[in-house]
Amino acid sequence: MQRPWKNIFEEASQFAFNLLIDDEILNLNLSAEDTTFIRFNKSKVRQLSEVEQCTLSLDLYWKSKKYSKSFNLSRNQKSNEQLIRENLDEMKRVVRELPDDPYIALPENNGESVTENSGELITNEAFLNLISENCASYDLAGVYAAGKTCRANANSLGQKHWYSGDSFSFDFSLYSAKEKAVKGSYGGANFKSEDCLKAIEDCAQALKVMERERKVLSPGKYRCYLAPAALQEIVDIMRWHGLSAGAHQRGECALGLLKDGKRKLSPKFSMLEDFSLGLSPRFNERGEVFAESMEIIKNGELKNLFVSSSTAKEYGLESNYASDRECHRSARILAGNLKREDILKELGTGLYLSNLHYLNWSDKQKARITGMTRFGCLWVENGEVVGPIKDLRFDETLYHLFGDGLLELTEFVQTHVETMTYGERHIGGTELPGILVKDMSFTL
Amino acid sequence: MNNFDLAQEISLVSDQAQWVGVRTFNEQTTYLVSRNGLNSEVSSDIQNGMMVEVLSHDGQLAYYGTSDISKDGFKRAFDEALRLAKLSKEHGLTNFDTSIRPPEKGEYRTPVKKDVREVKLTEIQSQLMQLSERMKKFDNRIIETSAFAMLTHTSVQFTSSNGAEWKQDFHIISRDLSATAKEGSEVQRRSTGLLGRQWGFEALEMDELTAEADKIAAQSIELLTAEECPTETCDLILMPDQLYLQVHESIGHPLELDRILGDERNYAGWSFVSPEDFGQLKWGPNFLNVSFDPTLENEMASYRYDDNGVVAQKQYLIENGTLMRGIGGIESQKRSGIPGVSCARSTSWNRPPMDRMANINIEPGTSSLDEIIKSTKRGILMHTNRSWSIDDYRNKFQFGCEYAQLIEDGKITKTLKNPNYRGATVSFWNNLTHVGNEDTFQVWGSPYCGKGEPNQVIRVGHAIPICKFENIEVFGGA
Repeated sequence: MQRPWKNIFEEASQFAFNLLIDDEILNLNLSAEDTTFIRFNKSKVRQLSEVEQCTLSLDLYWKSKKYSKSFNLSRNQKSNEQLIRENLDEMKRVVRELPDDPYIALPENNGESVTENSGELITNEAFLNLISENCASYDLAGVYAAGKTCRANANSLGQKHWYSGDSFSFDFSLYSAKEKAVKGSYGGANFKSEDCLKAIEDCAQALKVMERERKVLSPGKYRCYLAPAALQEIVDIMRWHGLSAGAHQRGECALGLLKDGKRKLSPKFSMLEDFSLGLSPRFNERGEVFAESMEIIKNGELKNLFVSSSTAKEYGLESNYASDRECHRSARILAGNLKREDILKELGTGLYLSNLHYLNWSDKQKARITGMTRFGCLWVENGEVVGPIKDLRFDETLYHLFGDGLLELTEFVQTHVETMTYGERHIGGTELPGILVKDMSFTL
Repeated sequence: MNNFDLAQEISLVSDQAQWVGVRTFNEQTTYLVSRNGLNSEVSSDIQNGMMVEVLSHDGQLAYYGTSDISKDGFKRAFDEALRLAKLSKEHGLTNFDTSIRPPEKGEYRTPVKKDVREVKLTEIQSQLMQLSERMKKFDNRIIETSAFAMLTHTSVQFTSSNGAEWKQDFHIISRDLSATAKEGSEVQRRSTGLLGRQWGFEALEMDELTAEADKIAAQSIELLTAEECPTETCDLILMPDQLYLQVHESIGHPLELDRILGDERNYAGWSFVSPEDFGQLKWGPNFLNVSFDPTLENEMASYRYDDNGVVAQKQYLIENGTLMRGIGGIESQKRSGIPGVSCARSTSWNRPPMDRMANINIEPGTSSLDEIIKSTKRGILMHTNRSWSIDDYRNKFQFGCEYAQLIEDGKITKTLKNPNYRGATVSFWNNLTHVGNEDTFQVWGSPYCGKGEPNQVIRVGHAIPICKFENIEVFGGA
């Protein structure tokens, strides 16, 4: 049994705090995981890896100066303490030499919290057997990631937060002989083989529709249904300066015209930051605790941008304890009235978009985004699925998609658990409905 | 990096597997940011750990990453990696043997004029503050300026049971300046673009950076009153600070063999290129030559060994307008039978290597910029990427740039704002009419190419001349 990361964090933080002198304040963040990654191609294992990793980040404040440094810890207390001492010594020297930061937001004591979510994960052997026994006839590609992830914060003023959980995600897609593809996913904290197999079987069923003749469409405007996974991609791009108060002050906020009252969204559209989803810790990298729930957009009107404490200090705003990136970590878009069984009927003739791909701002000032259709996108005529489409590029504004083009949102929502693994397993997620939109612009 | 004899420890366990390798990785990156003449951020990130790789007697590879770089840490990581490799016996996609891990010995080090670690961080930050203040004071319509530098030193050491023993030291600096101007509701941002290379403190030479700062500050103001880029089909001239990303997205990624083999289908995507296209597919005119060249000094992804230990060599991917070779390391070459390059790379100690671009370059042609402009009846010249998107087969793309100029009857006539263009990969490259000469050739690169499951970012280099294309769809803002 390996030593828990929680113990490592407590040892490391206490050791570091004991090295402080004078007016030094230290803010610490820890991010740790023990993860298995299994990468699949053609339902076989392409790469199998495990990692045990722990990153300790130190923010050393001295008067109006700050120097931050992060490095990897192991489970070896002696070598950890040596690393902390060496790095902190260097930080103490450098921080005193730095120019003042007039907008520095000094740490405070925001209390303590502990969240530990335990789950039931399947063994690697059992998971591999499950896939090989049930997927041999499929061409499956994707990645399974499983294990414990931890996030923690503490500062030398007495603040202390801990968040950890067992979790897994299986992000996959199935392919037909004609290179048609359908996306699926299964994730959570308690692995159930029958649920995993159902997610795969649902994909296999959907793939049959993709075998029909492909419809090639011309660029133009189409009525569209965007499934929750497609909407997820749009909500993701909004994390890049979409709702940031700092970006707004710097002229870079994509929804700046909404903030300035020059554009409107549909009264049907409401978006929250809602930590009751339980997918992410409420504390940020300063240990500030975000509200359980905050309205971002209510019935088409902007209620709040994300304001971090440093932005608040610089521009004279009130912090709502957003993270430094000033974006959503646990977003929720409220459901509407469109029933699942009525989606095709209400779509009538148009595009059923299961997924989107590679979105980017094409004109950030106007909140215009471009991206591609991908995975399981269908042409529908008079409420009946005709067949898959050849991929299309869209180029459309959020003011249209969530504004004058928004016809309805589904009455059901889907939870998306974060699957990104750049550097480490990311945590967080969203809860989203599907949306019915008129006149969505496709350009290529 | 190790305080124990790693080769000795490997020899003690090597009979349990067909092959054992350890990649020890240490990287320190320091980020410095000045906004509006102020000290905004100084921070450093150190990544320190080792990836133990085991090839089982059954021919299965598995990996275990740990930051416990000690004898005990190695032994435990080896045991875990061996356990995983054995677990793959019935489930593996491919069986490998030791021929995929050559026993190379040697060393590589970035040649630098001055090691940036010899310069105090406060001195570098002071330079950045001067630059961002200078841009801020240029005009009171400039509401935000930023000067950014990212200083990276990476040490990688590789030791294996069949005698590989090599190490590489990289010195990398990326820098960027930006100015945002606002008048009424019009907001325009102009930047140098994030320029990364393997170089030393010479990357932050102040005369050059001051000239760049003055240029982008002036152009941010110029854009406030510029005309919108028209919507039409015309000639398109791309400067290297945009064309490098075009090459990256529409030549580099579709040629990755792991995409063609399907490994990447669930994430970044597949490729429109099929195995039979190699040696046959016409990709641009006869004067288009695209190379994989990790040997070009000071480019972002220059190295002597890839992370499988294969020695890097310059190879032509597209030669005289024909597709010749893929971007695939030794594993993908064995699996596909397609000729590749030494490009198995990993982002850090905690991820296995996979097929990545390194330096993907367009070889210089014969045209000067002046000749290219004079040859243009009506066209648009675009600078500096600001938006990018391409489909999962790497075919339909759309790019946006920060700054453009209209060319009419062989002369630049006016500045244009919000320029964009779109197209499809092969037809776009087949519309190439001019490749710039050595004088137009610039070394660009990005530290942020994302791919893989689990996800990895990697540094890539693109050395590129100015190029001109005909019959391209261009358009302006919303």
